Amino acid sequence: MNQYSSFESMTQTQLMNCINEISFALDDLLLYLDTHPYDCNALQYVNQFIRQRNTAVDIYSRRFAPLTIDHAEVAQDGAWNWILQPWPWEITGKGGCCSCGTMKKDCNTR
Amino acid sequence: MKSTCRNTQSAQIFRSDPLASFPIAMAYVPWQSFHKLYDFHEGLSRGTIFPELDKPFCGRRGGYS
Amino acid sequence: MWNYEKRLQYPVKITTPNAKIATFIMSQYGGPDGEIGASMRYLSQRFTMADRRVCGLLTDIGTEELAHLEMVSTIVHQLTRNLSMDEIEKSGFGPYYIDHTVAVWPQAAGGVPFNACEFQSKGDPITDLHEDLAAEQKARSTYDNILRVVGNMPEIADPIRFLRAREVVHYQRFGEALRMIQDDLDSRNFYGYNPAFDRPATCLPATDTCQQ
Repeated sequence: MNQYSSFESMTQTQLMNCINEISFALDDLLLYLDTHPYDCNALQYVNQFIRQRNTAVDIYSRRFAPLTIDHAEVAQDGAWNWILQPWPWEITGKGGCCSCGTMKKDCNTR
Repeated sequence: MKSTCRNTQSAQIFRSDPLASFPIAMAYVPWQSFHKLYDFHEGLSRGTIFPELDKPFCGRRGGYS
Repeated sequence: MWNYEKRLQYPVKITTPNAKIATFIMSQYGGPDGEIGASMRYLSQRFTMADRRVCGLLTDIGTEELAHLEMVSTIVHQLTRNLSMDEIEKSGFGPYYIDHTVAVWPQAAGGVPFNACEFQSKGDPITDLHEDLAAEQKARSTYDNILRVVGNMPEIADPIRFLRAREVVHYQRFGEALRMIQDDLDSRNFYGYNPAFDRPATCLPATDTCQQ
């Protein structure tokens, strides 16, 4: 059930959308399995979904930003990207969390 | 006043009630079986990958006199 | 324990603030039928479920509700960005603003702060699962009420519709969990003993003293 072309060629937004979609399918399937732990059909799908999700998350974390602490290796520029990359509730470019990262005196959100 | 009671009514209901064999004084939700799934995009958009659990809301205020 | 993933379960991108709608939607954060209550209810109840599969289900749904409270608080946060004092004062958001500025704080739309009275964890599996079935329907009804207000605003309505759909699915899962608990009990009398607390007993009306 591989519904996507290569994760390596997607934009950040496209890849995040894929991760949301696959992860959600897995979330819903996991709850079904909690009450149907021996259902062959569900069990057949779940391994595929897990593999696809892990691949997508690995590639996203390598290409763009870490999604989990397990993927939070130090970036090539030596910075701790886990904390510096935007958080999920921020709308980029429209304020929210101060993006300058530290309380520098020229931070314009003060 | 003519009586409208029907002695056989409870028997009729009993025969056609699919839960007739279940013990009373308890609630029962039927088991879901595995059928076709939505594709990933549709699933996220609908809020479930199971079409049989997709029960949207269409309510609008009104219907009062 | 919990890990965190830096994304929302369903994306929330609200570009037009609206303080009035924020006061309505915050009920699904800290209100009587909201997502904080749901999460705390299930994560609390899981310790006294007689069946391991039901403990697991409560853990998994309780965890998903954490993701949902994050979505709802994101919606409230995005709806209260860049508000003018005029909008704050005229929208009905004023009283909340006085105590919280535009911070996110768990309360109901009517002002009652989130508290543990908004859920029960009774320690009897049949009772707790009925509480859970009811909780999912109450949340669904609250989302219905919100959709009547925001149905024509896709930025807000889309994540709300998603959250509402989850309530229906959770209801089905709790119903199946109740069937599992029933299967482990004597169907002649489901209420003869509490399987999470008592030793098993055969308890039928014909016997004056319960057999154990």
